[in-house]
Amino acid sequence: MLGAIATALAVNVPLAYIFVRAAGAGWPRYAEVVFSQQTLALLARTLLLVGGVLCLAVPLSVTLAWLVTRTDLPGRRVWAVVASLPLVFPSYVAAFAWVSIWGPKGFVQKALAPLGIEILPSWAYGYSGAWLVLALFTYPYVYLLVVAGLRKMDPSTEEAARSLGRSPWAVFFSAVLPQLKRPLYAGSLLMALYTLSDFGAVSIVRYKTFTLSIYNAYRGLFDRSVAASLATVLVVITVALIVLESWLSSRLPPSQVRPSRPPERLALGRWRWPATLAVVLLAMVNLMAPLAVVVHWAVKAWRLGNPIGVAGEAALHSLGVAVLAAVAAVALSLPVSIWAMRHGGWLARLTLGMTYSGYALPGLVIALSLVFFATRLVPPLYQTVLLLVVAYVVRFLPEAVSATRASLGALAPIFEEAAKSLGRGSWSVLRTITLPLIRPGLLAGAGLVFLTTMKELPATLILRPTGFETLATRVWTATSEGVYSQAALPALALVGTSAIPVYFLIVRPVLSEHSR
Amino acid sequence: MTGQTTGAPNESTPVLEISNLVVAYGDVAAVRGVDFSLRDGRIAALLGPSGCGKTTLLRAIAGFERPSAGTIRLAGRTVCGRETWTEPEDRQVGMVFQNGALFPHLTVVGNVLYGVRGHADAHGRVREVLAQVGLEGLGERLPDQLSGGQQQRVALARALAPRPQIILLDEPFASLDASLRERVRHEVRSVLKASGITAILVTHDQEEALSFADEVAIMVEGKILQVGRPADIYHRPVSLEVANFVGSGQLLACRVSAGRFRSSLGTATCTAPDGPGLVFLRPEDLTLVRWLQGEGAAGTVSERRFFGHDVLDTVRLASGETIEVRSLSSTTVPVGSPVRLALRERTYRVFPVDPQI
Repeated sequence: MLGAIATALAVNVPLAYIFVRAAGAGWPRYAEVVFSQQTLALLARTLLLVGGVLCLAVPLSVTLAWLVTRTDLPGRRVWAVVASLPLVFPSYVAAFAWVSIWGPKGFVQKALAPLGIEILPSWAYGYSGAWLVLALFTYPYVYLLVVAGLRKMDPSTEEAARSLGRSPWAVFFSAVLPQLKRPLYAGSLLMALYTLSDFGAVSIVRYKTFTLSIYNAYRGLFDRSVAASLATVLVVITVALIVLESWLSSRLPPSQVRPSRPPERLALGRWRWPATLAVVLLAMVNLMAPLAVVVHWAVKAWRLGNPIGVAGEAALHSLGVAVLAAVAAVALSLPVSIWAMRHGGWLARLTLGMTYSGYALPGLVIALSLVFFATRLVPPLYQTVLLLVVAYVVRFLPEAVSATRASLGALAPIFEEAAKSLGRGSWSVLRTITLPLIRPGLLAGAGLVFLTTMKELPATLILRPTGFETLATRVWTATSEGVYSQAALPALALVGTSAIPVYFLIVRPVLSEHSR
Repeated sequence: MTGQTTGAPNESTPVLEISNLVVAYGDVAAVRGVDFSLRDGRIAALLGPSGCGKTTLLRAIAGFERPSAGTIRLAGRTVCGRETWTEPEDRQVGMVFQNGALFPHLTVVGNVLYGVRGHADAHGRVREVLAQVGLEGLGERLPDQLSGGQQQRVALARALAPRPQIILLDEPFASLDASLRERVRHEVRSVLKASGITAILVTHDQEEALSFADEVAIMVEGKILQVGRPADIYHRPVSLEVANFVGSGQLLACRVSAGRFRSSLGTATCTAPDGPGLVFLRPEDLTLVRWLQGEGAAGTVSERRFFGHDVLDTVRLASGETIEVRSLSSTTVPVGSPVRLALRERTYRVFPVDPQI
């Protein structure tokens, strides 16, 4: 219990330092930064991006989800999986592939040059670039939830609407869509938070949102309270979105039970092939082409004899910090989860909830908080790998806690009770019964933390010791400098690592859902 | 005293003494003032419908539930009282769970060894208890390589190994196939009796309780209504509630006056107070005779169900009431035949009817 509370506090106290630092400069200075014309413009640019991304991603997700679950789209099982695969690209890898395809001197430009088209409009960068990269590569967060929502929806409501004389089109809007509110709200929140916290993509396509401005202010200005003040605004927006989503969801009726039979599939008729073509085109744009580009640059780098050494060292660094973060996060998830799952009570629930704050906050904000916390209270910690690992743990502890909680929930308490009735104390029971039995769940949690840590960019950029390169920072630095061939090998390595959780968490469940 | 003891007195000391125990979840009391004691070497059964609080009571004895009032004493030591609380691991209470709850990652030996690790000659003790339950050769198997009956025997061996003061069995046979249940039950009882240990079985199956235990406690809605030997519980229920729960009984309206009751079955002596009453009869309390003349109430067989060893006839009495009679299957009475019913010796019970109901 003490361990649990200590963990929750350790996660949250550093986070409070962003406010301490922002307040440190005094209210007039804070107000000057936060209520300035520039900040207002920044707010508008950020919210415009969030809104734009949602406006494209939500209809796209719903259409795709509906096509694969409710129609006779050819190859729908394959497309159901393919549509979720853009998740293998971390946003900065997606942006790297994006600008190297669509940007000036990009592949499309080169292909069109013989036709006399010299310069493409610069829509690969700026708002349009950020909007398209984020919408096209992260819509699976909404898509997956909507697919799950459609799968567990009882088809009899749709049949009832049909039998009451509605056309399939009207049925979709009057009977299906209203039932998808819950996944749509949850998915939209996820995407909005992702967009707000994204640093990699917006920095590569050079669209200034809060994260990029905070980073620039932190790097470029002597007065760090500007970065801290801007960060507090980002925190407020984040919290407001979370509150809004939970308020909207709380007004919804409880979700449906599992359907008794599969839904009737709508024949697409003459729309069959246009629909297929659209799905293929999408997969070309957000899956095949980026993959081909990354592989192309990697092969080129290889041919050039581009030093694998640098990438190799970065890979070792990434592996090292990811292993440390995974082990630490799982170890810390244990007291919190055991307390909440086996004893309960409001204090345990509160503690559990507090460990989730890292999930909601942008990595950049967490990193800044830790910088302020460390420079103020424990200066020796600043610029160390240890502080970097602390940031990862704060950010990804929720993944470990979720896995540990789930595996504890699946373990009936009677095994622990049996052990106690045989005369073993709590520690002994934990060591000999609980831990061995939940080991698969703990490993899964550690794996997830490991893989997300490998991809983490903004906190790594801010907290890494000078000269400490990881795969993520390599991709970002090389892309920012336009040296695509140097970004390719680390990017390929990251796509490969991301493919592992995508396979286990998305592809395999979807496949098994189909085989049932 | 909530329960009324009708069992035979035993001179040995109580291993378990519970007084005025209350276990509440929030505002809901699952156990509402229970007194119970059990002497050394006896096997008791807690019998009641699901949700009556019997499992909660068992878990409170083991230390997995914290009572809000009352005391529990084990072997003369207070383990739960106003000021005292002993953790489950320090109570020396063996527990056999519904599905065995064998540790799936440990072998049979590993499971049994779990409670005696560090004791003198732990391995000798493991061999001994495994021999007791007849599983000598299976020590290296993992739980999922055992049949349901074998798993329960390992669970018993595991609970016995540390020589606990008392063994608590929480519906241990419920998950077994019906065909296996009776045999495993008999084996478990033999092992318990051979080791001379005190035990409590929780069950909702009355046949199981009556055949397994030396004494049975009937628990309904958090209270123990009667404690007694199986035969007393069956033949001398103290209240209609107990009578209804134990065995298949039927009720006939009657009127009592001056120590005799009068009903459509005839008249006989009883001890109930004067006024309206109910005769509680089990199907085997009646004798069915195929004579038209003589003693007993007249009726017609309206339905006959054949069970092999015995038959159950439904008889419609002249009054219009129907009553079930169980006889050996060698008695052959065709459906539609006129019959007479006679009460056997004093196996029936007469309860006064509360005029409020």
